[in-house]
Amino acid sequence: MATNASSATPNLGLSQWAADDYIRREDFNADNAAIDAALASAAVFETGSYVGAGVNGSANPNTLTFTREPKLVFVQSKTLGIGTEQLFLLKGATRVSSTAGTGSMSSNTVVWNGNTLSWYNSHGSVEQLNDSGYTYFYVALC
Amino acid sequence: MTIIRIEPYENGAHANQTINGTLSAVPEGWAVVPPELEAAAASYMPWVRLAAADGVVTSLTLNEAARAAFEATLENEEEVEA
Repeated sequence: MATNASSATPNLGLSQWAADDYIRREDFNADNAAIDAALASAAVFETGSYVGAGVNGSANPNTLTFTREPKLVFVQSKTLGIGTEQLFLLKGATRVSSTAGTGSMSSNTVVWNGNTLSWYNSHGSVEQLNDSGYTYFYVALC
Repeated sequence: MTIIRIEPYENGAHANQTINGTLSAVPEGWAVVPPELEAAAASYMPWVRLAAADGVVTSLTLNEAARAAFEATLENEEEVEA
């Protein structure tokens, strides 16, 4: 539907009326729909935390749930005795190394399932970023 | 909001997640910790005993036995290191 506005914004094409333009309700509705669609598709950061349960392995994966499908997730522990544990996950990756402050690395199996991300490590709960009672923080681009 | 996996692990700990936002749907097998229990959850996690109904935690207390068992493992580790 062509707008009666004589110009439009450069990105979303929202109506920009001049003083002598005819204003129609449909133009506002179309603009609002365009804004709504743009906001819905825009990437957002989500943050949170969890407290480790002290278990690991394929029967005990870590699971994080997001409001949208995650594309990139970074998980980091508070300081542990052996250093800070980190996990950097990019959508699609299925084997990802967690990194300790000591420089050691350990492979995690990762499953992406819609708004949920899970991973496990066969070596130990520390390597899985699930050490008992320790708090882990995450930030995700969704 | 904080969500917690209803079923505990063998060590008595519960998986949990605190989200700076709101999920529109709680994952299956998990429950939302209501505001009045969030402080207790933060203090006791992950060693809790809980009851849940319709996706909401209705009671939450410290699982002292599970936490004591964990603390005993720490003491054993310290003895081994010494």
